[in-house]
Formats: sequence, C-alpha cells, structure tokens
Amino acid sequence: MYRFLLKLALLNVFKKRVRAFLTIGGVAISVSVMVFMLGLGAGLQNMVTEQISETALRNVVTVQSKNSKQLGINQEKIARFQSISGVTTVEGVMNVSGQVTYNGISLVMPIYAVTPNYFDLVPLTKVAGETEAQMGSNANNIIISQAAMNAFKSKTNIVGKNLTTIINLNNDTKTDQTEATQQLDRKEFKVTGVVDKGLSPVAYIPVSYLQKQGASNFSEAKIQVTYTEKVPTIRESVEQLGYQTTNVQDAIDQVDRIFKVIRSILIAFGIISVLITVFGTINTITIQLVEETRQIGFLRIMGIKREHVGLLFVMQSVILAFSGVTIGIIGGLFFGSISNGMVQAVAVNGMSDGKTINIYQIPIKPIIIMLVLSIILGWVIGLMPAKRAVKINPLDAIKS
Amino acid sequence: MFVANSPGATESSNSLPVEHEVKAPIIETVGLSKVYHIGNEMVSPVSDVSLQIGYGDFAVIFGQSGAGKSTLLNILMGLEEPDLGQVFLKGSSLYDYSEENRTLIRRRKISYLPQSQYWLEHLNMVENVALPLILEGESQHQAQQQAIELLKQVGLESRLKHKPTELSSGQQQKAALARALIKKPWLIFADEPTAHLDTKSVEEVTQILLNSVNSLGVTIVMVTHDLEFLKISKKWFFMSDGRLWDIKDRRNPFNDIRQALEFVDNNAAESTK
Repeated sequence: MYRFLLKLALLNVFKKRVRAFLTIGGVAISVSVMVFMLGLGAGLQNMVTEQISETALRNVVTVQSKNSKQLGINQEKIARFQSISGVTTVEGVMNVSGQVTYNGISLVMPIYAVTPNYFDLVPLTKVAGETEAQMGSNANNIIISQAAMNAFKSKTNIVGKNLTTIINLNNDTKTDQTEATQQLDRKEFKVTGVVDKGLSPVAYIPVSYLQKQGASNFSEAKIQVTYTEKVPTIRESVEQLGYQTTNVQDAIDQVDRIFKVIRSILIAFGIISVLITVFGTINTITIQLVEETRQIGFLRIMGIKREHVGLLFVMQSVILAFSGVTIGIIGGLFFGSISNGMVQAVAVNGMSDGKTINIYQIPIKPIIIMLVLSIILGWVIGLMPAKRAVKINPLDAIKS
Repeated sequence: MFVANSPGATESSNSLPVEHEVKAPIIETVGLSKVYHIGNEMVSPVSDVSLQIGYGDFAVIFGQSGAGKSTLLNILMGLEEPDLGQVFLKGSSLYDYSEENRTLIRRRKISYLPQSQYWLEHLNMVENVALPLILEGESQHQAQQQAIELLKQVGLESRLKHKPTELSSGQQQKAALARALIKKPWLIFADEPTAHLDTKSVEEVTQILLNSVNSLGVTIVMVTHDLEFLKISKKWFFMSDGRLWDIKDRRNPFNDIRQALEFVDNNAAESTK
C-alpha cells in the first residue's frame, strides 16, 4: 500500500511538470544560496583560522611586560615562568631595530634576537636555507624574511652571503636602564636562511650576540605549554605576576566572533528560504488538492482508508519540500566546489609550499538540519490539505 | 441458491412470473434515513428507505436527479452512515463494522462503476485494471496477469499498454468493468454506466454486465435512466424525493414503471417552469 501511495504521490507531484519544477526550483535556489554561503563562510573561517594558527602554535603563550622599566623579563623571570606547572619551555626574545645593508641597499627593520629553540615555538615557513639550530652556536648567523630578501632585490641565493648590520639597543633590552638608545658597532652576519613572514621585512639574530653586548632584558617571552587546554591556567598564573599575555586563540576567537555575525545574517536568509519552502509547498499542495478531488473520491471508493488518503497528500508535500531542499543542497555544493576550484586554479601559481586553498567547506550540520527540516516541514504543511482531503465525500468527488 | 417469494406476493405466489421472485438478500436496508442541515433547513435525501436485493440480482434504481440516489449509493457502499435505519450486507449490519473494516469490505468485495471513469493517467490500462489487486497486496506480476486476462475478455487485447486517454468512452467503460470485476466482487454499484455511450458500446457494456451476473454470480445495483435496462433487469426500484419504492411492492403508489416515469417527467417539467 505504501509503495503504491508513494508512486501515486510522485505521479501527482510531477503531473504538472512546470508547476512542480517552479515550486521545487524556488526552494532549491534559496537552499542552494544558503548551502553555498554557509560553506563559503565556514571555509573562509577555517582558512583564516588556519593561517592564524600557522603563525604561532596554540600551546604557546607570548608574555610581555606592561611596563618594562618596572617589570622586565630577565633570566630570573624566565626561570620563574619555567617553574610554573605545565610549562615545557620558555624562550626569551629581544626586539630591537637596526639598519641592515646588502647589495648597496640599506633597510631599517625590526630585528629579533632569539634563542636556538625559537623557531620550534614560532613555526615560520622556510623559503630557503636552514632555520633549525642556526641561532645557537654561531653568533654570526642571521635569518631574514622573504620580504627583506625581496627588498634587497635578491633571490634565494642570498643564503651564505654576508649582511652588514648596525643594531640599536633600546632601553627595554639594556641592563643599565639609561634613557638613551645605544648603537652597537657595525657587524657582519652570514645569512643562513630565509623565512616567510608575510609582507614584513624582519631579521632574526642569535640572542647570545646581544647578551654579549650587554643586553639582558627580553622584550617578550614565549612559553610553551604541555597541553593547549592548560593555556588559560598558565596565562592566569603569568598575568598574576603582572605581565600581559597573548595567545593565538585570542585572534581565533576574534575571527570566530566576526563569522558568528556573518552566520547570524545567513540564518536570517535561512529563515527566508524556509518561508519560501513553506509558502511554495502550501500553494502547490492546495492547488493539487483541488485538482485531485476526483482522485480522492476514486481512491476512497476503491477502498483506500481515510488515513492513507491523508498520507498521500503528506507524501506529496514532503516530496516537494525534500526534492527542493535536496536539489538546492546539490546545487550549493556544486557551486561551492566550482568556486573552490576556481580559487585554487588562480592561487596555485602563487603557492610555493604545495598547500591548497579551500575557501569552501561542506556545511555538513546545516545540510543535515535542512534535510530533516524539509521532511518535518513537508509533513506539517501536508497535514492541512490532508485533513481536508479525508473529509471529501467520495461519490460527490468522483462526479465533480 | 435460496429463493423466496416476495413478502408482498405471498397470497398469490403461484400467479407471479418467475422474474418477480425475491432471492435471499445480499444487501438489505431497513428504514434508512439521512438528514442534512443546510442553514436553518433540514433536507432528507434519503427518507425511510427499505429495500432487499438478492444474490445475483440485477437491480435497477430509477429516479430523477436530486432524488437521493447518490446518497443512497453512498450509504449502501458504506461511505456515509445513515442517521436512522440499518444496512445489512450478507446478513451483517454494515455500520456495526468500524469505518476501517467497511473500507476493507469495499476494497475487497464492492465495486463501483460511475458514469465517467476515473483513471490514473500515467498508468497504462493493465496497471489501472490491476490496481484493486495491488491495493490488496497481490504481487505486481500476478495482478497484471489477471488484468490482461480480463481486458482480453472485454475485447481490449489491443489496448493493454495504452494510456486511458487513448481509449474511447466505450472502451474506457469496458476497461472499467474489467477493473470492477478483477477483485471478484459480491456487488457492483453502477451509476449511469451507459450514459454518453454509443449504441454499440451500450450493447457491449450491457452484455458484459449480464455475463458477470449470469456466469460470475455478481450482484449489480444500477442507477440509470435507460429504459432498455427494464428489459433485462428483474428488480426495479423507483426513487423520488428521498423515497424509494419497489416497483412490485404493493405499497408502491405507482401501478407500473411507466407511471413512475411519467411522475418524474411531470416533476421535471414543473421544476423547469
């Protein structure tokens, strides 16, 4: 019986093909836009979050002094941070500026004096040469960013070449706390690696060099925590000591907040698409009820129960809503993957590390919700004409 | 088959021609009445109707439109509960069954043959005719085999795979008869089945109806205006303003069917004035 009713419901729905396709099409277009936008939103959010995550590890907390004169970060404080339960490593960083000259071009840029393990905590994409263990034994090594390399009008063969630097020690890093900036002697550094730091021209030198020149205060410290879950506790412990902390999660949270707003707007569109589904289906089903009056009479006389006649209309309504939503989902996924493919095709030339860009992510949860909702809505919408259908007098109906 | 004389003819049963005998009723009504409230008015399309139709009878109900025939058919088919009175089908009160059971009885043992047929347009004739068996849970193959057999019997072997709209009115009515007969019904209720048919089709349809009565023992209750059926039917009823008279019942105010028809014609003429 149910198989027959399903077959009949399908025949009834698609008897007037243009009307069926207009109804289903209306639902499909709105759902397709929803699926596309939701997937695009999720994909972009994911991409931004991933990019933020690439700049720093989630289990690394950056500690800075609110007031370096009163509360600096020295070796003693580093040891204090290290003693906090859950801390794996603490690496100090001195942020100074300096003039770097190569190929007759001089650039003033930030210079980070870092410890040997710094690049374990701040993973940067290597463009050329080496980064690991280059800031340790040899105090003459320097790593520059790709933007700096480009500014020097050089290519990756800059690795192994010498750069001349004049470093300015600011009062944050000096031990004597005098106000004046101290300029260090001109020094030659050998380029051992080039890293990707976006558009920022920066250089990394071993912290041991500055320490030999009398610098002892770190501008910031990077604390590696055993588990990401422990980050909030560690941050709290450090902040209690009077320092301010940052973590990549802060930026991710900010991104999440922005995308939450975008999602809310999309949900509003979703409600509109639900309304389109509801009105489109109600309209079509009501017209079908009028058109199928004879059929209802025929079925009742043939011995089909009232509840099955009602079920027939509910099925028709569910078929309309479900087909519209399903086609819409397929359309949304199709356009999503097309967009992804187009962006990947455009971006592939600029990608040097073999990574793929995914601006579209299949919104699985919303898709499941839409499918379930289409069945529930279809069912509810179908109940009203179904109720009217079962009340129709069979003999009057078949003669109509 | 049990055959009894009619109650109204007991005193002179020997003089009755054989066609006036009353068989054991397959369907019987006692004091049926149905009342509708239309605004402040009460309308009674069926009023105190009692009838008996025997096994294998070919019963004909005459009456003008609006006489209450459709409401009576609704009640007899178990579609509409009467306000008063009872319907007995094979001795059991039809409305003592639940609606679900009445629906099942209709699905299995009662067929309806309307004036203009209803078909599921996208199905071919075999699929349409097989429908009553499909609804009963019969396999598609078996149901269609039986449908093909019946369609052949009614002379539509060349129209098996045709869609209903590709058939003439006469062919459709013959196919409808095949559909009505496929479930081997106890009763077929026919509502003006030969109206709008050409003479040849009327003859063919009538012949199929007679065959089903004679060879299959199906009981037919037909509502019609076609006087030709007077010749082949042995059980006549006349209906007017919700009242039904058995033509051979002595309570009947008319002497014969001709008088009843004149009454109908006069009433129709009055109403058009």
